[in-house]
Amino acid sequence: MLFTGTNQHVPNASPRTLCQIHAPQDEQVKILGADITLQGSQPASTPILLQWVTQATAGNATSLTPQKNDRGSTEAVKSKLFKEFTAEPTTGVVLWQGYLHQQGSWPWVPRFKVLVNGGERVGLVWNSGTFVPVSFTIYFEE
Amino acid sequence: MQRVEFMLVRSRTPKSNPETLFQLVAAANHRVTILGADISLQGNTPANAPVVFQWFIQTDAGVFGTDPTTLTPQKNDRGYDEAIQTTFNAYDGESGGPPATPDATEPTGTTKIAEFSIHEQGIFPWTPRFSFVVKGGERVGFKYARATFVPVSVTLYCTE
Repeated sequence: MLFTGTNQHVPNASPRTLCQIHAPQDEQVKILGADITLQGSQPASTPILLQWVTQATAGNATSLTPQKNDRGSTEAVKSKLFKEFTAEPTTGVVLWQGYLHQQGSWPWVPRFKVLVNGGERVGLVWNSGTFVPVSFTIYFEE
Repeated sequence: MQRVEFMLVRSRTPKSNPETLFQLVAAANHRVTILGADISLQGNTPANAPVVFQWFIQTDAGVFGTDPTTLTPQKNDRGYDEAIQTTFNAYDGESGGPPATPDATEPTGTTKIAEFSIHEQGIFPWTPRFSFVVKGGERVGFKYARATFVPVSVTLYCTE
């Protein structure tokens, strides 16, 4: 089943998890990619460090409702998504990282589907003390 | 044969020009394929000329740096028991100076297989139109080539 998770938010701490996916027990989730865009206005600013990391804990956040690509399917999405964290999860290993200018857009297309094993948590994390609006759409498959 | 997918993240502010950001070493009798890399920079000067990046075939290990000496790739499926056979060396031109006393020596290699440039505030999804093959025992290096140094981040995608 294909689904997306999307949100716009202004981070207020560094590091700050923008989105966490929690894979259902005994079922792999695959991250197909993400569109990440920023809405700053300073051309001479230093780009923002973004990372995909494994996370060992839930932290504290708001649920983000995943949206099925095929709304005619009756099966429910089993994965859990979270947004707008107020307490950070515990970080594990860094799977991906990149710098994105605050006026930039990044269509992240991993060269293979990035796996989240059953029960595992993976988060997209903001690492900068400069805060500008960020929009993301993440594409998943379970 | 089941392929093992893995990623390598390298973050570094180079200190010499050119500088090998990392060297991939294929295990003996064990091919690696490079699927692509996401490369991004953290400069802040819009008017600067872009940074040149180059892939080279390298014929020796050079002398490793200390920032760090080796790099650890991450398996895409962390449930796999098998270890990644490919290894990665790291280099740096820095010292405790001034004056600068390089604590690493660049590997040897003049055969260039790819080159591109990226603005110092940019991010580039390098996607070769076919997978780059690194044959068993071979070494390939990824170099930063500009005398103005800004932080660079590379996420490399491979299978073996």
